[in-house]
Amino acid sequence: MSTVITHHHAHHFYDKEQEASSAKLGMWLFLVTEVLLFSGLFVGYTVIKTLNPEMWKVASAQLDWVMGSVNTLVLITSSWTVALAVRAAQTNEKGEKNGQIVGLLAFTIVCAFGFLGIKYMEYSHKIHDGLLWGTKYFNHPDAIAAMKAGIKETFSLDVVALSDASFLKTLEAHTAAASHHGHELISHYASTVKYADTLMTVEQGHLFFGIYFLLTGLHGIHVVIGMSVLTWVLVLAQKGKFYKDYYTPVELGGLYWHLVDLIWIYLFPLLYLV
Amino acid sequence: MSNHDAHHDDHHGHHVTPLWLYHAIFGGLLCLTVITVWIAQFDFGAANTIIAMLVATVKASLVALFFMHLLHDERLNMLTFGFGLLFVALFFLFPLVDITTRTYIDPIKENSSVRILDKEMEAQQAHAEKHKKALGKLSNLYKREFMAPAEGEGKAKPAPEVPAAAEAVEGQAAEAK
Repeated sequence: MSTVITHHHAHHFYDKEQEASSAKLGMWLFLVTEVLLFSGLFVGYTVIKTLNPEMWKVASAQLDWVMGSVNTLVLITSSWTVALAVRAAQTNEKGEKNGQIVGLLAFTIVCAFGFLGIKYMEYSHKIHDGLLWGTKYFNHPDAIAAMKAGIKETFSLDVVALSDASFLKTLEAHTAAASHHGHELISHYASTVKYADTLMTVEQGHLFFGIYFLLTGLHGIHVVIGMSVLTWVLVLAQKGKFYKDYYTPVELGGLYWHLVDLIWIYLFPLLYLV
Repeated sequence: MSNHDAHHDDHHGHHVTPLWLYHAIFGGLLCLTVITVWIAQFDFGAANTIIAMLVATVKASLVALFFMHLLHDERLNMLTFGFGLLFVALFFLFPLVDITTRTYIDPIKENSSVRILDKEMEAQQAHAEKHKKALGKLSNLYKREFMAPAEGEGKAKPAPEVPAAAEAVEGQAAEAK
């Protein structure tokens, strides 16, 4: 096991250094496209949040910050171990660190499974509560109860006493009235309109969960891809492919995994904390 | 061990980050995570997001510069990523300019465009009212000064059927006499 397979650079490169630096530049270009892909959703987040600040407060309170924090720690740890795996490959002379590379990559992949496990718990909880995007939002009685409590806490409006059916009916009626005759209503029934407006903003919560599922879902897909890439690198490392003169796949796989971590570093406070 | 590795690999043109630095960065990231969670329980209003984003950016910089080796890599990689971030900034800039300068159409809000339009219309109506009054005064004055001698009566009367232009000419002629 303590041997390495010597790498020969491809014929269209001058030497190993040029091959390695070209591959890395290509990886960075790819990472830029990834960042731009996510930035579309981040801009959507910004626009929707700015236009619906009250709704955001109520809806984002439904997320469990403890789970988000644990997932942050898991991802940071995996980022650290994958960086150490790259370093082990960089300093691997004659295959004496093959086992270390494999061990660190395996630990990273275990962390990734842990992340997905926690994400699964979060998702199933949200789905059970009916906290989903579009028209599915608000369909579950628990979700309605949570929203009533949220309205009471945030706006001191007691809608808890209403039955679920009449709550939804009121919500619908007030929303329709406010959107059709909002301007006339304001002068005559200021309090009614305020009530309807409150409900309207809270009802927009499906927008928050739309953004939540899109952002975390796209990120989750990246976690799965990163795991697959790292598993492939692990298998090659097991064979003794990586040593001080050739470790490009470990490094590029590591870069991808760090990007997954980078995105989460922004996702976590934006969704769970503010 | 790590010193030896670093020395050895510098010779080959690869920078190997010393182990202690990786551990320090990891420790720093853990601390910053605790800080960002802890600070979120205080309400700083609009500054909440800014503070959280500052902490996140410090964390992201640590990951990019040290874990992703941007600091000691070829400068072209940093330049490439930097240009990407520049375009992200542009992407954010234009929608932000839009939504932060837009007055949301919402009759509830004091500064909504519906309210602002109302106020503007009121102001315009008041202005028109003032104008009308001033015009009325002017026309009364005109009638008293220029039409009264020609008609031979004291008080101003409703305008006669003659067109306004002819009236004005008549007035001027009266003045000339």
